[in-house]
Amino acid sequence: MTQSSRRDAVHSQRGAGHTAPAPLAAATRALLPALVILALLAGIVGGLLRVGVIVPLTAHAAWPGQAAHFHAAIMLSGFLGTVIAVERAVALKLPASFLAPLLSGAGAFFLLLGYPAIGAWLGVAAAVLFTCVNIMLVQRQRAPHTVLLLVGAIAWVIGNLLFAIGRDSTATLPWWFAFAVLTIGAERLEMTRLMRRNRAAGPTLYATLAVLLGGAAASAVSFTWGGIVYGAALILLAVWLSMFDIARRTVRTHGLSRYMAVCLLSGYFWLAIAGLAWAATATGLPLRDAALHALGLGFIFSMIMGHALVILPAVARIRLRYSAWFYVPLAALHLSLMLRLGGGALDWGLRAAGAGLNALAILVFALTVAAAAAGWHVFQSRIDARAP
Amino acid sequence: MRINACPGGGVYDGRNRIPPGEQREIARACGLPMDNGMDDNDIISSHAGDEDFNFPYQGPRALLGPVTEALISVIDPEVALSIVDVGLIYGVTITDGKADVVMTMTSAACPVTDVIIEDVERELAKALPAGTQIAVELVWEPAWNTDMMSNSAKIFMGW
Repeated sequence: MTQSSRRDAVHSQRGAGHTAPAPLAAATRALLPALVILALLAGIVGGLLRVGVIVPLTAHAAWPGQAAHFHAAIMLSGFLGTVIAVERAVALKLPASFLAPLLSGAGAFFLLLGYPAIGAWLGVAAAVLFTCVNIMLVQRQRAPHTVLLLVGAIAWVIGNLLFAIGRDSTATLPWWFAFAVLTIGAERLEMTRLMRRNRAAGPTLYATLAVLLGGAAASAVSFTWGGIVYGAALILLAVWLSMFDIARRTVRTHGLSRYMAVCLLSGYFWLAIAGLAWAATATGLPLRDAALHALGLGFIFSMIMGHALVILPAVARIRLRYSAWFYVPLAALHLSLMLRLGGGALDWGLRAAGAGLNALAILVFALTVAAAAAGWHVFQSRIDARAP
Repeated sequence: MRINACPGGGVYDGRNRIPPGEQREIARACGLPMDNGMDDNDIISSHAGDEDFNFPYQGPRALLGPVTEALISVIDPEVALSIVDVGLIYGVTITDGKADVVMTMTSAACPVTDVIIEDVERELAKALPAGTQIAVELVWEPAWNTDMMSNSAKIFMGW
C-alpha cells in the first residue's frame, strides 16, 4: 500500500514554500532532542545536589556545580522553555522558528560549560525570537488563547532578561513560572471553548493572570507583597481550573482521555498548594522548596506527563501506545512530592529522600514512554500483519 | 439508543468501530434518514447537520459509511471526541478515485495538527478502495466555532 504519491500531494498543500535545506533540518532534528535531554538531566542532577542528595559524579567535573547553581534557569528556561518553543515552532511550521528552541537549549548548555553570560543572553535571544513566533500565531488566529500565549512569551523574555543582568531568583522565578503558567492557562482556556462556559469564565481568568503578572512585577520591588499577591493568584488559578476545565468531563471517560484528565486535576491540587506555600514563603515561613516544587513538579510536571502522549508524536514523530502503566510514574511523582513537602517540613533528610524519589519518578516516566513507543510498533505490526 | 456512538463510549477509544451495517441500525433506531432507497453507486450530497455524524459529503453513497467510520475514529484524546463530533471536517469530496478532505483545527497554536492529518489519511486509506488518492487540506477560514459541534458532543460537554 504505497502512499508516497498521495503524501506528496498533501505535503504540497500543507507546507507549501516552507521547507528548510535538508541537512539543516536533519541537524536540528538531531540537536534539539539532545539539548532537551541534556537540560532535563542536568536540571535533575543540579536539583538533587541542591537538596543534599549524594549524586555519584567525578570530583573534577565542573558542570555539576554549574547545574546546581543554575538549576532554575536550566529547568524552566533550558528545558521547559525549549520544549514549549519546539511545540510552537511545529505549530507555526516556519523553519526559522526552530531557532528559538535551539538558542534556549544552547543557552542551558553554555551555563553548564561555565559561560553564564553567553548562556543567559542566548536565553534572551531565544525568548525574543519565541515572542516573534507568537506574534505571527496571533496574526494567524486572533483569539484569547493565542494572545495569552504571547503574553507568556513576553514573561519569558522578562525573566531571561532579569537573569542576564544579574538579578537574583526573587526577581526571575516569578516571571519564569508566569511564562509556564500563562502557557498552560492559555491552552486550557482554548480547550474550555468546547464547553458551554459561564460568561464570567474568560474575564475571571484574565483577571487572575493579571494579578499573577502584577505579583511578578511587584516581587522585584517588594518580596513580601509581591509574593503574597503571586501566591494568591496561583490559588485563584487553581480554583478557576478546577471549576472550568474540560478535565472535569473527560475524567469520566476512559483510557488515555481519563489519564490526561487525572494528570490535569491532580496538577491543579498542587497548583493550589504551591500558591499557599508561595504566599507563606513571602511572609517569612521556610516553605520555599515546597512552593517551587509543588509548582514545578506537582503542577507543571503533571501537565508534561499528561501531554507527552500527544505532544511527542507531534514534535518528535514518535508514536506512543497508551497503557495503564502510565499511572505508575504519575503516582510515584505525587507520592514522592507528598514525602518531600510533608516529611520535608519536619526533617531535611525526608525532603532529600522525597527529592530523590521525584527524580526516580521522572526516570520511570521516561522508561514508560520508551516502552510505549516500542509497544506502538508491536501493535502496529500486528495490525499490518492482519490487514488484507 | 446510541450506546456505541456516545462520546466516551466504545467507539471513541479508536479500537471499537461501528460497522456500516450497524450504523444504519443505530440511525434507524434513532429515526434518522439513512436509507432513502438510493443505489449504492449514486452520487449523493449531504450537509452538516442532517444527521449527527454528518459533514458535507459529495461522492458515492456506498463510500459514505466507510468514510464516516474512518473519520469518527480519529479522536482528540484531550477532549475525548472525534474530529467529526468537534466539527473539524468541513467537507469530503470523492470523485474519480480521488478523495479530497477539507478540515480545520480549533487552534492555530496547536502542534498536533500534522498528527491528526496523518491519522485522517491513514484511516481513509484503510477505508477507501486501494489506489484512491487522498488529499487533506487544512484551512483556517471559516473559523471553527462551537456551533459546528455535533449534538452528542454538545451533550457530553454539558450544553
